[in-house]
Amino acid sequence: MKDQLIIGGQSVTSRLFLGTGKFSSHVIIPEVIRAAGAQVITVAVRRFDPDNPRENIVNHIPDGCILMPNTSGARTAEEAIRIARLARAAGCGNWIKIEVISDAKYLLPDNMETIKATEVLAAEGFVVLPYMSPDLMAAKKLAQAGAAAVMPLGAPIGSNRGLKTKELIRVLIEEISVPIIVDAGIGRPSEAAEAMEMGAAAVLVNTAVATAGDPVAMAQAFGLAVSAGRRAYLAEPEDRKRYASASSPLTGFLYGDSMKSEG
Amino acid sequence: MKLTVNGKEAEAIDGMTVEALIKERRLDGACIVVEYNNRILKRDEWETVVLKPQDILEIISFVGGG
Repeated sequence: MKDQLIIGGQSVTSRLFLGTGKFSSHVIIPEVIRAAGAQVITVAVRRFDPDNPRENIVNHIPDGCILMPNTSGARTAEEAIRIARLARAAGCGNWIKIEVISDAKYLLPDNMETIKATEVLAAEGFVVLPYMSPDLMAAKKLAQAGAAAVMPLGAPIGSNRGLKTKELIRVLIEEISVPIIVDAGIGRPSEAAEAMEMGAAAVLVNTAVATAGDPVAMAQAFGLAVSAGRRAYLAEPEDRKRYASASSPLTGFLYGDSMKSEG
Repeated sequence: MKLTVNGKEAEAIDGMTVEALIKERRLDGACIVVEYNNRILKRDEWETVVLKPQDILEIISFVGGG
């Protein structure tokens, strides 16, 4: 049976979701997306600044991509809901990443406000992917509220610190029925691979690609890592063991039973 | 006439429609949303809504983000 990622009833072709923030120029974005093989692409929603007009980022996102606007800037459920409705009114899809943050130091999300926003927006027909701090009960409530997936952080946004919350992510993967997508903090392709090996449905990466010396090459590395990690997960790796277990036979030694254990 | 666009005082010609204002500011229309006096406008309303003094407009677009 083909390994498919289905979110909100839609088949998604890549388990690497990509953010578009922090790139030195928008021009490089199409090449980064192609190198990564990514399909779901996040964007932010902001007032157009007439004093500083930038070319519309949407022009740099290839056809066939799924746009996922985030509600960054929202500090409450009410603000997130308003941003989501504005984003959908743009006519470019109904996916929304709920991001409700009032902590400026660590940018840790407010799980309670995120749950409230998810309840309202899921009922309005959005495909809701809430960004959250990995807590099992919060994740259960998000899934019950109608989230299409749950997105726990690995480490603070932009920190490149990896899967600091991995034990809690593991619990979510085991207990929550909707896809678990690790979002924030992944700093290296190896960390993306590790998340996928644990059974994450996908990962979302932004800073690690955008701020790399060579974002296109890094995007490609992440694409390969996510693919490798997923294949490893599906291949059912053996459990880790406390003691050694010889890989070569313990009989027929040329030099006798020198390695036989005492007693 | 004076109105508010994205939180700043702005000038517009009397009788201008939302569509005309967007065009005048050379905004690329892809995935843009207009909130007019706290109401999100449907795209086909841009041509019919005529701006009045003291109107409050929010013009919103997508930008890079994670």
